[in-house]
Amino acid sequence: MIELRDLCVDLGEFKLDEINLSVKKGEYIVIMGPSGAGKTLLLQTILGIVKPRKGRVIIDGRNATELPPEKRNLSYVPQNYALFPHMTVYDNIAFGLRIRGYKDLEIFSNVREVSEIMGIKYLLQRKPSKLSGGEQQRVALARALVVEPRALLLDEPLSALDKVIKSELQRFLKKIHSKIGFTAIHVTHDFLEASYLADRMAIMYDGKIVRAGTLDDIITYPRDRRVARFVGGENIYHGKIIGTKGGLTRVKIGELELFSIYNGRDETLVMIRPEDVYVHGKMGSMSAQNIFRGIVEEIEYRNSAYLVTFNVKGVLLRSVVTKQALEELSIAKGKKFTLSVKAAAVRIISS
Amino acid sequence: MIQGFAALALLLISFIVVPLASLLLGTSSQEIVKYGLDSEALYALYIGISASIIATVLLIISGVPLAYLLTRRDFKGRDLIKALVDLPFVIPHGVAGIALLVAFNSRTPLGFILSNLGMKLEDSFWGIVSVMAFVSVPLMVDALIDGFSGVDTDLEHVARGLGASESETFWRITLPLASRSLVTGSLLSWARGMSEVGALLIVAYYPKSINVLIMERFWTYGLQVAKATAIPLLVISLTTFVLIRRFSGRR
Repeated sequence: MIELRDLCVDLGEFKLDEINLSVKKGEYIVIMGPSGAGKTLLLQTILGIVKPRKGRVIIDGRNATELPPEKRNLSYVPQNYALFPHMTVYDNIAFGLRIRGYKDLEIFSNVREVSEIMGIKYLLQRKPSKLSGGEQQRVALARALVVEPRALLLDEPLSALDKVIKSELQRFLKKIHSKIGFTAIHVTHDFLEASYLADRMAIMYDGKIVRAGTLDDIITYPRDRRVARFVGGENIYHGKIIGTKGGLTRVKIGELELFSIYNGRDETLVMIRPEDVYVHGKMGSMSAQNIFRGIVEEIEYRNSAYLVTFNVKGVLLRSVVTKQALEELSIAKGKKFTLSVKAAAVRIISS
Repeated sequence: MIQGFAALALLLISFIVVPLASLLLGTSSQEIVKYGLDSEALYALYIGISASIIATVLLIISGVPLAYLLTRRDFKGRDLIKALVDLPFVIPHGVAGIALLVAFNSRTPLGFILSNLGMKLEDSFWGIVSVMAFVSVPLMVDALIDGFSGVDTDLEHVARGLGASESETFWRITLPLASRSLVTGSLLSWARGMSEVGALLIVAYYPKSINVLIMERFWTYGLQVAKATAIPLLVISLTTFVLIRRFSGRR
């Protein structure tokens, strides 16, 4: 268990301000916030690279505030994975064990075991420069987990990857976590990633944790305007799975029925990114599995595009629209449009 | 434009190659054996090369910690120290020699202690070493600063998290990854030491190092003899340079 009590850090433009957080053994906590919120600084303070001005870091009931990083037993996985470039994958994974003075035979069997779990046995003799982004990430995780750390500190571990590999690795991380049950503190600015992985999440702004709780808690009661904005840019709903049809899952949000490629059961959270909601001028041939009509309720200007809120059978669905599309389709309050969403864009988040 | 650039580039390359080639080709083997490999020249070569190697080793021992501190610790006066390191670049060589002599001659307190330890500055082997080290400081330290700055601190943070202390991290991660810069810095320091004359003439004319001997023979016997004396040094320097570059480039 890791507890942070009244943690304050001043590091020029970055700071931490009275951070309080506790992470239970085996829990996967995701810390979310815009860049510059102090997320990386928080990880570095927990790791022990940065000393706090005030407050305490308590690891398994012991005050670790003054301990150097090597005495804390926390494995750090930075954004670029930081594989040691002058060592083979085997030596990378073995690093922590060698430092701990393990015998060669023990090191060999431990590295074998973890690389089997990670599916990277075939990479052991390669140098990191010969690996793909996804492979590097698996190696970094193997190196971090093989020493059985008290917690894994993950700094935006998926942000450098392209979309397809990213969602594959999210699933991989989740699988490994439920298999091994490590404690994780994962930092990201990606809400979708957070909601997929987190047992619990904390939202940071300006060096402060402004809200912590489960995904359900946070979207139901954001409590803070910034949190609402962070979360509210997305389409998140309580849904109910009502069956399958043609290999797709049927999910109902209020009166709106959608198809999704994701599996789930009973009550669930459903998320659709606003950029995945397409607006059409007239009915044409559309490949999307979900097509329905919606009335424009609101148009907001946001980040050089428009966030248009549609009312679809009482469900509010937000869509990101460019200025050009707004003008060409003459989108205006009260008008009716055809909307489409692909089944792959309807995310089911099982709790 | 490319043709113009190529012509100018070629001019510059010939400016380096032509003098070296004419030196090597324009000297007969008899002359080289007579003036370049006589006992005085061989001894001077030994003095010059060994002094420069020792100066380089001393610079590694002291330059590695300095460069590490300059890249890994934030402290007051860091920029000032970085500027100080580069000073030997801008001081005229003769002036550097005079300064060393003023500060460390055997009548000064420190010089007195050193000379009692057998490390007298004036006209001694250690005088040559100290001159060579002095002029090479910026080459070594700047190369190492480049090397250490090029090592991502995240690598060190990961190693620390995996249980390595700061010194274990230094030996296993930071230094190996900066080794190319260490080799480059050492090579440049050694070569710079081998080419120093001005300060040597002032601090330590004797024992005669090859650098001084070439100069002396030029004054006494003229170009022909000086040229032949210089050739073994030139060959050794070029060979070392090529070998170390190839060796470290392949890693």
